[in-house]
Amino acid sequence: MSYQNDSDSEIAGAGPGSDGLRAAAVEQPGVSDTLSVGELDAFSPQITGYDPTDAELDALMEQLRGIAGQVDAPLRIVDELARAAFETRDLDAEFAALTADSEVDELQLVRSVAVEPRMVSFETDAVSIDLQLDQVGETLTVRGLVVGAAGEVLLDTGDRRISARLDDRGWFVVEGVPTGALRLRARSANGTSVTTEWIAT
Amino acid sequence: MQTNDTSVDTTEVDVAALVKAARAGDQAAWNSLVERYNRFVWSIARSFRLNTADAGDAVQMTWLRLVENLDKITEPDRLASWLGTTVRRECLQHLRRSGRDRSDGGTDFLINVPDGAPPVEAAMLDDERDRALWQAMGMLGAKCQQLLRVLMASPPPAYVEVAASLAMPIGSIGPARKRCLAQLKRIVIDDEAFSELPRPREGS
Repeated sequence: MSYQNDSDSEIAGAGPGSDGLRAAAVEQPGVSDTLSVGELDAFSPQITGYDPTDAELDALMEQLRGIAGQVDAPLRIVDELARAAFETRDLDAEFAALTADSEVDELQLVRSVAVEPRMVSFETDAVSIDLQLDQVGETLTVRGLVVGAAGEVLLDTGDRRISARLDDRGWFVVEGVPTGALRLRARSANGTSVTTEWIAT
Repeated sequence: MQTNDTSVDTTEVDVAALVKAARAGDQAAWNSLVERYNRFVWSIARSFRLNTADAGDAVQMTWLRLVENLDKITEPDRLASWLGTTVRRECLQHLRRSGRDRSDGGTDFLINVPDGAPPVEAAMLDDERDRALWQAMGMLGAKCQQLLRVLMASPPPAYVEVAASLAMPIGSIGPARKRCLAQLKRIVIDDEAFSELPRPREGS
């Protein structure tokens, strides 16, 4: 679950399925994203005519950098959320990895817009978590079944935290969950804290 | 932290030290990482033509995943490449979910994706040459637009980081940059020549 050393030559040789930089923790099945060497020819047509010097091109690049800084820098809220992300750090929790995601499964079979509702599952040795995500207007209704835990669960959305109580059989429902990022935290029956992987909603 | 070798790139040393401090719980060190790399991560999201809301989501998710993986990063000095790879995946997921990517990989599909960035009219660029250049960007091929949008991040990203972010061979970045910038320069020169032609009639 870490990204390993790979030299530039390995990157240059990387083709589909051999991306050495791939971080296992953010691996998304069905998301193929490698640009093959042959495609580079399509970058731009070779137009004859004026041949700018390297210095001119460097100056152009710096002009672009200046413009981007003026008109398309990240909004302040984007910076704030990036800083606030650090507060989601949870050193003691056991990590519950994503084991199934209906959206990804569907996308692998037929590339089309996902069908509602989306079903996602997470697991540790002691706890299993199944969530059903229904888009209701701009927000989500989250229905969950948490097996191996009891009491209160917390839904994190990156900048908000919503608590819910599991019923006797481990079910909960929360309405009005903001879209964007989502994870769930629970306390297992043996007292350890469990945190799911983040998913984009 | 390495301090014994003056030839070591100070940027890399700083990043490794910041990652180490963040692991130890130092929010200020984390903020410094955000300050250093958020414009780079944002540029990649924009290079995939995400609109402001989706780009914001992709960028936030990238930082949340870094928090999640902070203790698993084995080469902190290659953090930018990790961030670039991660945000690219988030962007592709956004595009797939919204049905805008029907491709089997690669980024050719981008030519059909409307740019989500605000139009230049709304950008209020005072300098006319800047405005002309920004508009000329829109006349480049999709891949050139994407590459240049990443390269214009501030501070300038290393080629190895750009290569990781766009899943391109590192050796192709320099030549592609040159080709794209040269093409952009020609567009700008043509536009200038065109605008200096005598106008057929008065007005506008």
